[in-house]
Amino acid sequence: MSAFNLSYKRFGEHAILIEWPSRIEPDILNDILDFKAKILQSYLSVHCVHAYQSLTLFFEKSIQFDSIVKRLKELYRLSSSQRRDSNQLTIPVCYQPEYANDLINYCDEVNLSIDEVIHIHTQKEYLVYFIGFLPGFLYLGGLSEKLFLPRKENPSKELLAGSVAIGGEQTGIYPQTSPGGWHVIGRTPLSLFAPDADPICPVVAGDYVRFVSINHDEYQHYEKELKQGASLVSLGLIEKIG
Amino acid sequence: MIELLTSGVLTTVQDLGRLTYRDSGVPVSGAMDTNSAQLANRLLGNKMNSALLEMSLTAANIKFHQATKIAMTGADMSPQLNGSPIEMNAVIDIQVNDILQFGQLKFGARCYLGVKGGFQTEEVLGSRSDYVSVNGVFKRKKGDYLPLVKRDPKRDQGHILSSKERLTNTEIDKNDSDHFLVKVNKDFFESETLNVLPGPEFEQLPQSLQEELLGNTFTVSAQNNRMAYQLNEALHNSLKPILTSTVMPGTVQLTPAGKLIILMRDCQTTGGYPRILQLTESAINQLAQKKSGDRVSFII
Repeated sequence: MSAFNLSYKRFGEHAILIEWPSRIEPDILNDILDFKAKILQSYLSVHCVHAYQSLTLFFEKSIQFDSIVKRLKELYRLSSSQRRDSNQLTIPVCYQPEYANDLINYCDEVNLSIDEVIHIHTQKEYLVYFIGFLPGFLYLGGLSEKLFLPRKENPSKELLAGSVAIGGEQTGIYPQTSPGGWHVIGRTPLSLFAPDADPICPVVAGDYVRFVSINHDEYQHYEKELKQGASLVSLGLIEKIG
Repeated sequence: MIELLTSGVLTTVQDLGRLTYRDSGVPVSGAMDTNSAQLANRLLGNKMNSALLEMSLTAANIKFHQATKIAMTGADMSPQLNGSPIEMNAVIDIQVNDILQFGQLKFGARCYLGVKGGFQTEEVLGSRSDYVSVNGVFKRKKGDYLPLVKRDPKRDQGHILSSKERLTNTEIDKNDSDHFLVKVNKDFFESETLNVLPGPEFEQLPQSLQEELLGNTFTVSAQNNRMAYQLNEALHNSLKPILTSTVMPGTVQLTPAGKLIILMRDCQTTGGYPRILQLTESAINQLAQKKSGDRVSFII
């Protein structure tokens, strides 16, 4: 691919910021992940962090900006390397008011019934663009316009870990209990971040997630299984897709 | 072991943080003033990444349940060992049951207690830095015990630094073979000037705002903590919002409402506000020693 016009900037003393056109697009994400793979396979010793339209390279020491950028441009022009197949994670969600403080108000504001919200939210797979904001917080692409709702003016003090929420044009899952301005429409018993697990997050950028609706009993069941150490694979929640 | 006899305002274990988990949304964390932290470790002959206790504004009083050596660096909180004042920036011998107490804060905001071999709390994701969603610890409190390395004090010679070595905030003179003087560079604590580089969105600021940003003095607001320092003065602007992008400690954000937010060590890894400046590592360390009401200005 490698079809975009990129800019290269210094970002502090030890990092370089590479930027793509300012849009949220799967093609751009693919190009970013492609470039990241090439960089990681090169001699450059870096930690790479990307976002919607950027890739930041963190170096351990002060850098020779011009010579590294020259090398990066060469790498960008190389043909794409093999990347691993994507995974799809199924996230079971209980969309009930006892599990989601904002569900009823939210439905009111978007003028849809609970069933309609569930249907639209679970209808399609979402692309994982990157992980940021909090450990394990997935930035997902593909939310239906019908579900958009601006963030709350006054954030809630406490959104429980596992809260599935909607803020602006995005949907996501709060991996830890934290304050937040998004509208909580459901909760999942799945953990999206475990520092002692391997890997620490069950998905990476370029993977997909899909939400499925479960009831109270099923929620309790999953919670129990996960506490006893059941893996996502054994629970049938994660699978390779093409 | 050491035992915290009091909590202090914000007492945490810190080393140099988690540098390779940012892509999972894990903040870097680590010592707010890495210069002072590394000085303590150098004095003790520790590895640079050894864990220390970082204490902000008011320190925790400590009882030592084993012999060791310590060094205190950073803010001067009038340390006393068993009732007698002890030197900052020096290696101090500790015996069993020694008690370290603190008094008046003379300058700075954060002080570091280094111990020989470093604190031995649990390492999570390659670091001992306290960060609640990673190791479950928000802050250390009265009654907490922290493990040390068991060492034979007679074997420790201390670290001999060459007389030519300089660190950013201190000068070190070699005195005799086993003892050296560290003079604190007061300028590090008192200077208001923070060295910066332009941030990714600096060029989007009109010339007049760039001049205002670089020409004025700002004051640190009461909203300052390990995640970010907010400044009191607003910079009214009409910058376009940016798509959520990568940020790091030292990134200066400008909100639509004109607030200037300087992200610090526990900051989140992404942000949606324009990034107009980026503090150098040295400037982050300087800012870490500033308190509410202190003045700062930026120089490129």
